[in-house]
Amino acid sequence: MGMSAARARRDRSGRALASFVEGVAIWLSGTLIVALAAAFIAILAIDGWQGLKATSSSPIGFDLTTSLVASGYILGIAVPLVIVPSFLAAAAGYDVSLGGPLTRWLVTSLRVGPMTPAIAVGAAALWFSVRGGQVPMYSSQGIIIAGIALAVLNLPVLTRRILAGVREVPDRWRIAALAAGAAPHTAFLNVIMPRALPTILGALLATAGRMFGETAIIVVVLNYAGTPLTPVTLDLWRRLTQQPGGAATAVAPLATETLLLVTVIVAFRFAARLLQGRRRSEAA
Amino acid sequence: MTPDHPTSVEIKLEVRDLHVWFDKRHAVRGITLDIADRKTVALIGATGSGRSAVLRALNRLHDLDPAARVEGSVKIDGAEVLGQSTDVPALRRRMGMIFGEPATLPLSVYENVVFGLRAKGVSEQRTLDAACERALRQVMLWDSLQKQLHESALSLPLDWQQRVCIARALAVGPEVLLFDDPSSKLDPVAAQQLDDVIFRLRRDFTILIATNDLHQAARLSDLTFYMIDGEIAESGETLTIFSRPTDSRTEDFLAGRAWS
Repeated sequence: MGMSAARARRDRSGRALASFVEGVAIWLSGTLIVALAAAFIAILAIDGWQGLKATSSSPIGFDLTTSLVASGYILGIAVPLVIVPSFLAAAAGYDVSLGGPLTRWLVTSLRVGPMTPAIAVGAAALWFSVRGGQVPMYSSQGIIIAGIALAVLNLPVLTRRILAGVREVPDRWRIAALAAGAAPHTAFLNVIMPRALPTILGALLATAGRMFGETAIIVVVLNYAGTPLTPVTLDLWRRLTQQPGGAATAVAPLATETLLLVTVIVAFRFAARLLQGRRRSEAA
Repeated sequence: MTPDHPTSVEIKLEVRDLHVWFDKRHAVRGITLDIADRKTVALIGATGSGRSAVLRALNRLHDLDPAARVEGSVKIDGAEVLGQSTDVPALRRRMGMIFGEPATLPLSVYENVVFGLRAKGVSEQRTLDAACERALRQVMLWDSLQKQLHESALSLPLDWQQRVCIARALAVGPEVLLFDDPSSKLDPVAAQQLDDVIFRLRRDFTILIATNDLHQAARLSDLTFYMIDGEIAESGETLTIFSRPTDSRTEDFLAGRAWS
């Protein structure tokens, strides 16, 4: 007994130390992120909007607006395209009686091979790459292909996140609703969904943020570089790898876009966490 | 086994050779019973004896458990309920289920009570209001809750939540009420008050109570079935079962000697 008590004390002090170290690490990393963001803002303040405008004559040019528009188009296609099948597959995964044959097939295939959509998109991208130039990438067709590819890539991710959100709702409520004479879809829509909505919205935001970042990768593999409609993430990548100009003109747009990206991603993540936090507090 | 009771009364529920499996575990082993209209029946027995499994088979709640398999026949007013063509939501409205832990929905008191009606497609406000008041009066909560109808039902004390759940079952006009150990989470005073509510409901509904509370079974039921390992060991008039059991296992259980 004495040995156990001593071991328990050691475990407790070990846990306290680990917790302290973790706290310090979080504080330091948080401070570092804030300091970096502050540095970016300072650079922007120094260079100013005039400096940004001056870069428009550079070889690559400052095309932030068109980059955002391209990213927006791709997301505008991909997000709605992924929401509906993900939601239906998650519903069928939650309660088999809610799905039709197609959604049941979808949820089963995602469960058995969640990597299949990514492999399919990768294979398609390789095919496009090998046969480069045959798809008119300068037209809206490239954007549509990118949007569809993003939707397919993120289907398993969003399905799993929605399913996890729905499963957080206590099952006794579903059983209570069904026992009270509700049909499965009524129980799902009227009892489960309202409680899972904050988590689902968080999942949607997190996935949308991830998709925003992935627009660059998608467009790169689709050989879409060098077009007038360059997504902001690809534009940033090009600046990081190709900018040959002087530091005075390179820093400001780089800083602008990095800050923009960081802000957007942090905003997505923050909103997602906020919603999930609200969900947890409600469940508690 | 079918208990001795007058055959002239109308049979509400007929259960024939009912089996329930959970994967390979045979939880209910060929139970047969008839329950007359507006009679109260208690299913007593040790934990794991299959009482709850019987109740859940009656209103098809086992459909929700992929591991559960049900065989046999259950008829209400002569109509088979275990068939593929059964309208299960409608069946569950005819046979209201009250669980051991109050299954309060995360909605207001009002919405909890009228939930089944809305699920049935009733939307007229006057009808919903009247049903809500009637059901809450039946569970003796109207006076206490009429000014809190739109507050969350989850904030109510546990015994009131349980009565709101009973009101929800009553609001849709059921014929049978299934109570699955309804007092198991309540303190003795609240359990007594719940018994009073159920006692008042006896004259209007056919009631099955699966319970561990022998006092509750003795006070509320007309007939008692004692279950061991998924089978009915003894059944009959409650007074007879409790005063002169014929099976020594029943006697041991009633004396508290069969809990292991």
